[in-house]
Amino acid sequence: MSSHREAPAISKDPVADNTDVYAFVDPGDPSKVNILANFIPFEKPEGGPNFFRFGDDVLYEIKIDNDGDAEEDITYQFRFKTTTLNPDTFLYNTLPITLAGGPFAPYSESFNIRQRYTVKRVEGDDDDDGVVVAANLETPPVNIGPRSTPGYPALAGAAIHTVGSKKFFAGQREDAFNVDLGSIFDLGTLRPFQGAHVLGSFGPSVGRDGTKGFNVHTIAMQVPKTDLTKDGIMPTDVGAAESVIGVWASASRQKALIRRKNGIVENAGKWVQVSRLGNPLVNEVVIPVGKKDRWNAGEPKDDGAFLAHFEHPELQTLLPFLYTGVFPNLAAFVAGGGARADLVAILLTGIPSGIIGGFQNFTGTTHADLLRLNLAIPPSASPSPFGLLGSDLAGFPNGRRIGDNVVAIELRAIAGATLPLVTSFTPDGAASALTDGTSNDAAALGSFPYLGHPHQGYDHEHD
Amino acid sequence: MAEEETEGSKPKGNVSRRGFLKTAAAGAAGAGFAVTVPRILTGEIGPLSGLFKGTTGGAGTEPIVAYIADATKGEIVLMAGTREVRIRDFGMVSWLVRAVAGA
Repeated sequence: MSSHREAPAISKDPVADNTDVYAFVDPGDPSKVNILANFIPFEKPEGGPNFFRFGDDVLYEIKIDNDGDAEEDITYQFRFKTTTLNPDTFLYNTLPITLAGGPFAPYSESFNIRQRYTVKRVEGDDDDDGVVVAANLETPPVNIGPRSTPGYPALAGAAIHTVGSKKFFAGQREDAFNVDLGSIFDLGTLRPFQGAHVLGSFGPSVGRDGTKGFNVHTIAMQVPKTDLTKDGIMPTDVGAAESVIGVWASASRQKALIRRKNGIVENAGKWVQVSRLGNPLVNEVVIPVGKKDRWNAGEPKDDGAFLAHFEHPELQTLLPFLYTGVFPNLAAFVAGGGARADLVAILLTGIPSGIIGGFQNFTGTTHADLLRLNLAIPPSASPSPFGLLGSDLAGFPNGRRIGDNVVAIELRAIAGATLPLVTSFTPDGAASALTDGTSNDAAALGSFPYLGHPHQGYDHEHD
Repeated sequence: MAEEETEGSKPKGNVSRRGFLKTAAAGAAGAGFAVTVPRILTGEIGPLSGLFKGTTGGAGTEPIVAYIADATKGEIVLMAGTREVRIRDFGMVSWLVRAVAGA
């Protein structure tokens, strides 16, 4: 998974669990950039009566480095507050939730358990210097079913907030990440290639999307590029360092928690980061289990401590072992002890100029897991799901779009497809064909917040 | 089952709240810094919001949590809202450690 339940500690705290981060230039208005951060993995759509919502006691942040030091220069903070209109019912909604004016606008009074949020923008790393961008923004109801949340797209649309030149949305969305969990965690099986797996001769088959039918909670913002760049420039030069930003999201909890006998829980102390995410799948498959919690608590600027796991990823050793004879060139490279400078560039520094024609997203020599986006590269008219590997400069690992198949891209990269970028190496034939065979089960939207509407509780399917 | 202080309950043994506050005030003053913290505790000054700028409650109603990570350093971390104050007072820490040992 990109980062669903990827570390021991955060797997027990889903409300604070980052699952995915997306960052891409807006295809409709290239002067703006969209950043989406997903939390709460594997939301069963029927999970009532206490349906999923953001944590009132969690500090959610989207951070941007715009000067290459891997430290946040711009931070957007999101704090949520839940209100229950009628505490004397067990119901999330007492009648169908509809759009309505009046004191409970934009929703009818029947929407009983609501959540609003505040957006704060901070420059530098001092929270006290932040400016509240918007307050009391409404989140939409979750998608319960045709009787409770009829006309869901309109209900969700009422929670898209325009604040000056910016847009915000926070609420339930369909999980656009797709991956064959059941197969991959069964000792690295890729169903389309399982005929070659060392353990068992199963015939090849299509993949099964482990996140099919599940939802997440998304914090989405669309802001002018100039809101995020150094000195507020409008990036036009692909080769300029100032055109590249590094993006990551995090969740933090206060240091102390006190449980009282009467059911009241109180928090105190500074915020302590419990989850973070830049590039997909890094903490999932690159960082070993004994270091995953430390990774989640750490800052990107300190990721150099984990460099060896990027230079010598465990998965590149497993692939030739699990698929005997399929990756002879990769096996020879691993046996030679060479460091994966390609993966270090893709995931930790960005790709410098001169490697790929007309492209760079290099942020400097500081090793840091950032989702790097060159804002001067325009959106693609015909996006390739394989992003840069598909000769589409506007896709992952140049930021990340909803439709980028990051599982296939990273599988292929680790299998050696990107190694020729930095050294003399002939990738194995299978490297450029690797996939888990899954695709997303719901369509993305054509406009902000882009992620598809959530699956409803009344009627949905899982693989 | 773990014991928990409830409203109206009396502290156990010789660890009284009033005694703690007095000791805290004396200890912090003696250390020469963070004097205002005990003044909050003894009620000599107003709501916490003025001192703990940016706390979530704002009205001084949130709990103050004292945390001693390493008694040998004599350092106490006081947490209120999202703010923290560190004081160093070997006497107070020693007193608290003895109180815990005798509880």
